[in-house]
Amino acid sequence: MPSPSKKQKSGKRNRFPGKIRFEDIVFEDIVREHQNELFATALRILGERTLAEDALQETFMKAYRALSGLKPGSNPRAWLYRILVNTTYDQLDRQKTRTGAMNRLIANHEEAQRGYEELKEEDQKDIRAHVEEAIRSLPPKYRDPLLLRSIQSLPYSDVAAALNIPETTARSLVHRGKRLLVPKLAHLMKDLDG
Amino acid sequence: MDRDMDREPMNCETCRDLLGAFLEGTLPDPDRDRLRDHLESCADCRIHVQQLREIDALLALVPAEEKVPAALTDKILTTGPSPLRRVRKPLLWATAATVLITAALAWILTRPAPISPDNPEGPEPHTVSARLHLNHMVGRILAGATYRLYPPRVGTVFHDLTLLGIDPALSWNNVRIALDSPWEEAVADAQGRIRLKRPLGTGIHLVYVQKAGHLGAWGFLEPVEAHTEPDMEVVLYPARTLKIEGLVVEDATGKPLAGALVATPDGTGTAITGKDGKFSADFEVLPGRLPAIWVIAEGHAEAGKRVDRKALKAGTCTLEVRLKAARRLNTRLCLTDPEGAPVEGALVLAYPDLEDGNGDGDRPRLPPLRRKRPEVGVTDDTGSLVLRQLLPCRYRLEVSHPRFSRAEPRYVPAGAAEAVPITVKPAGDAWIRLTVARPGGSPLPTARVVLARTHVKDNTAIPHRILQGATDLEGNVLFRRLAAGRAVVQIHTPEGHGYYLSFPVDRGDRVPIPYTLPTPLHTLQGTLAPALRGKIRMVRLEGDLPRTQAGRNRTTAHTFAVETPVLEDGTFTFPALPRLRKASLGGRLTMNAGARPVELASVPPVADVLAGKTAGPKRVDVTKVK
Repeated sequence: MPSPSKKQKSGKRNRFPGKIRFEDIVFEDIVREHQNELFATALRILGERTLAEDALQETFMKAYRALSGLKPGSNPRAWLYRILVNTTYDQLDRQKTRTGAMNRLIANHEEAQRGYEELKEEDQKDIRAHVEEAIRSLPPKYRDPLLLRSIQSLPYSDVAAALNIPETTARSLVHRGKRLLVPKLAHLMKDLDG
Repeated sequence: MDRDMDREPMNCETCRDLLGAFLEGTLPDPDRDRLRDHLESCADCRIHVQQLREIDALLALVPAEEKVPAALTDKILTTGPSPLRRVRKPLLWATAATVLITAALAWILTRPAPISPDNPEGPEPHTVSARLHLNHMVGRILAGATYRLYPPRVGTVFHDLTLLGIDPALSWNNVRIALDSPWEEAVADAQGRIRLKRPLGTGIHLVYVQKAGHLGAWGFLEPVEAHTEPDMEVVLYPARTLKIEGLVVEDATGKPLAGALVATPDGTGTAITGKDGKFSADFEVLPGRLPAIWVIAEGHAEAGKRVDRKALKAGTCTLEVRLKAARRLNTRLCLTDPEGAPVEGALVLAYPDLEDGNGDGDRPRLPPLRRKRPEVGVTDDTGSLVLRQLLPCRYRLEVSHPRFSRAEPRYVPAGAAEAVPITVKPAGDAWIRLTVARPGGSPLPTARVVLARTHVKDNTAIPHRILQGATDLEGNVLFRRLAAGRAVVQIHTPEGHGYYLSFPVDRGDRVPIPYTLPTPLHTLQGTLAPALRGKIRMVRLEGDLPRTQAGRNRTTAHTFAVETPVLEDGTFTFPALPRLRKASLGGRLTMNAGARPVELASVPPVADVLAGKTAGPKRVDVTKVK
């Protein structure tokens, strides 16, 4: 596992200098506006709802505490994604130490929650699951820019800000990520042709 | 991009590097033309373009948003570093992972008291478990913190306390409790736990927690279920002391204002102005945050003042605050049950409803923070509560009380001339008491039991309809205050077997329901077809149990489910299975619970194998995905 979070911390330039007053930001608005997209991203990276929920909660907690560091008028989206991506890395590190038994317990919870009804699935969702799985299997270096750009439709400037990389690098990583997906999803492409 | 290559024909490698920009339409002109030229001549690269387009099409299938469970949103909004912490509610499954991670700690702190047959309600809780965290991430327990527990009979109004975690300010009324009302004080032990001299009454209790060097914090405490101890989580942040002194005057006349409340936005430090309008006090403030004070006086609009950086450095600060006279709008609420008896200890949240209010065009310019923040209060022993200093608009009420159902939203005007009567419906009084036993009849302790839902007859929304518990040493678990209807109960044994039962829940029916786990009969071994190996990682077995269980034939649905991982050689084993009707196998492509399950077909069909009454090991070969 590469450690971009460490790298980002050491090479940290404050991209969002300046202070704002608390009154200028209503935290709840930020949560409600961005929670669903952040949750989707956490889910694609972590693969488990429970982990994604943890990551989301932690992200907003960090965001809340760093709220005063957000520049007035700036778009909190890239900033939130940045916190989220770093949080998921922490989470994956932590997850390694977790035992299999714990995973099974969590799996049981999950299964119970979903119930049986959803066992029957539509083809569309099946393809989607494969695509999600393929994205998750990419090295994080490619996966994260791809998720932010191609799934979340962030502008490249925001992708770059969120991942603390130059914009040109973001562009080429997204493109290379797609190229890596080609062999992984070749079997689905035939379906599309048909 | 190499400038020298402008006039050269493009090679495949360069072409593929530039395709990303090309497909997004951001490739500059000369490169674009050269790339088009290359594509015309190179079939491989054309295929590659097609592939990338298809990848884009596939990526478009992945949704950019996933609905966040409402419970999680609530949790995020209430667990910000707010001084106001809500009591932990019975857990929703959605938050199960968080629970498991903190399970070790929580178990030590909140071991359920056993339920004895002659006292099915369990002992009255005297111990309040509270976990004090230094901050959310560290989660260290703070011993020696002092709690003040306010019984609910005080008619309290928390003016402007917020559930969002941003700058709440406390009102006049709050000071009155702090100064006048009797409270019980206790000191936390090494586990962060406090022991009370009296049992908790019903209703919401308010708790103030403080420790030297930390910012004090408010919490709500509510006896949740009789068989679990009440639990509360409060976060104390390290703080430093700042001496603030100053003068409060009336804006129009310049006269000093006596008796005005000066408080930090967190509501943790307070002072009251003297006859000369002056105040002076030490305030605990969070380091790294510019503190502010709010000044509130009856008959005046509240005002805030920020402490500047220099003063913060110096550790002392002098402020002058001018207050403008304002109209005072109070509304008295009177909560009663359907029989007209007062409802004491109900928590009332009143949100300003600006969109649909009675502002009559002169809608006030409000500080942004007050727009969404509720007035929070608890009713006194006459069921009444006065909401003070309201904005000139109508308010939407949310009422919650452990014994009453959460009513549909109701609206009250600000400044009502007479008390507004509010009637709340009682929550259900039905029980389920389940006694779980192993096949031989010995009790099954520590099984996780989840009460999934009840279908509420009159469609009244009652909070906490998903309850979770664990069986005690006698195999008992109790769920109370249920609405009549149907309950789906899931029993998860320590072995990972899940039993799903459905009961009718009758009002007042308190007969325990015995449930004996069915006798294990089969062991099922399976092998995946080579094509599926490495793809299916988890296999799930489920089926219906024969309908002979669960006292007096009360159950209707009665099913079983278990999951097991697939080993590297493509085999899997389910030990200790009961006889099952309509058994089926499902599989998941990863170990992740988020992965979609698929239906698996086997030879012989697993349904036939497990329906038999003969005991012993059974084998199936999984041939394909259905």
